[in-house]
Amino acid sequence: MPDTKPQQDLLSSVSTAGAGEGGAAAPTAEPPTSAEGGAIGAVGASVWVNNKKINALWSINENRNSWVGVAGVGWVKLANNSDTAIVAFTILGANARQTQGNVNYRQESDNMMHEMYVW
Amino acid sequence: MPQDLDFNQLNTLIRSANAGWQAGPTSVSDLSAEDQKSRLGYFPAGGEESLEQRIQAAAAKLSSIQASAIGAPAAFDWRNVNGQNYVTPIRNQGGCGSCVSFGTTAAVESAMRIQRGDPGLAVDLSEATLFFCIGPSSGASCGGGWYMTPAMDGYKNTGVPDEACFPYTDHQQACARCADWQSRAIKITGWHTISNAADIKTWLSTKGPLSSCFTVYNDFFAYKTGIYRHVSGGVAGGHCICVIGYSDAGGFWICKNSWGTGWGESGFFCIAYGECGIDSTMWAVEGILQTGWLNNTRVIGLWTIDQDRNAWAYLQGAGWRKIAWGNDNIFFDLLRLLAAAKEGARPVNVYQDNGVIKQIYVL
Repeated sequence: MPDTKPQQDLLSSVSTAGAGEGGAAAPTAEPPTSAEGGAIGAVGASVWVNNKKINALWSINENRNSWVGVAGVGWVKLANNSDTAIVAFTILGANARQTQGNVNYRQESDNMMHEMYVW
Repeated sequence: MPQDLDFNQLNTLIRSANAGWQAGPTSVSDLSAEDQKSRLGYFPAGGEESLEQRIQAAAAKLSSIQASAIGAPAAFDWRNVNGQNYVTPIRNQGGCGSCVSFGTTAAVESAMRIQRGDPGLAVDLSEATLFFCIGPSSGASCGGGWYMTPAMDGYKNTGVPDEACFPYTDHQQACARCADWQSRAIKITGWHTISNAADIKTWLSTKGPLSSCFTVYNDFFAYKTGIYRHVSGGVAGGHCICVIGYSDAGGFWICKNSWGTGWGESGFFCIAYGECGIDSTMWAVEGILQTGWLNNTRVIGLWTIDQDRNAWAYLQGAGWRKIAWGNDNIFFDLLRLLAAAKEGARPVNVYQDNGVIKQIYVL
């Protein structure tokens, strides 16, 4: 897999999350309430990052290489194990960028985004 | 009514016991014992607790039932949620032991209204289909009754169409559902049992009514109003109903029966916490899988994961729905339109096939 990363900094907080190479599940969360604050929760190697905004998008003419800029976090690479998965992630990322809705995502030890809610 | 007692005598016993309810003539109080028994129909099987086990379990946890559940309101009634009624009209099972079909169907009908956010939703599902078409393979019959597990599984695995597809009549009969029943069928996403008292109240006050079953004694047939507690008479049999609310102050569950409006409080009744095994275990409908158009709704959220063609949309009034995954272009076309609708906050009309989004208009 290509490992090109976005080079442009995201606002003042540049902490590009480096991504390594890299049975049908279903969503379990309910829509967030306004009282829910931002949080990061870890389960094993998984980390849930909650209530974030997507403020940038990046892609390149390489196979399965698309990233989203997460406000306060930096660039995060989208899971690249499947054509359809990475396109679905890109559509959701674009939606989050356009609407500025809250995003909850699960990041694994490879530093890629493997699950994503957009509200 | 207990044999050898008239209503005055029964009411005297009720007052003496400080039981808190009133007896009187009802649509079933003057039936023969045999005909009264035919209005019941719960025979636990398949690992479900026996009636006696339910009585003991409910009595043993009475103190925890009486305690207010943290996070749940002190009282709740699905007939009046901010002035809206999510409970469908009282039915009458007549002289057939089909209470399981009515108790489960009532919970599913309310779940549909709640999930759609539409208390006026015209929904009337076919108890006859559940009992006479799905039931016989697990022993359902008017004379023998039925039990909860296959009824809930029937809603999950087979589905039940509208009442007009196979109208209910109270006698043993062959399955005669309409030819297009499959396209009219409603399925549920799943079900589970709840035994913890706090969890029962939390589910009731946030998700919807629950199905439950209890032991009916002979005095129950003469129930007119109040909070029922067994006072007199022997066991008539097991019976299933739908629990639609509760009151911690009064210490009772509010229930929808299936004996017509001429019994109880226009077909409803209140029963004390811990009484007759009512709250030993209850059955929860997790969600509705629907086939058909869901119009003028909104896309609230989107979800995806690192799996092939696996994305879902959260639709207002319906919850999470999977996006059809037949091939790449189907999946992406539908996902892109759902994302566009969410971006523009536009209303959508969505066609679901057993809960899977297969067609969409963005308006």
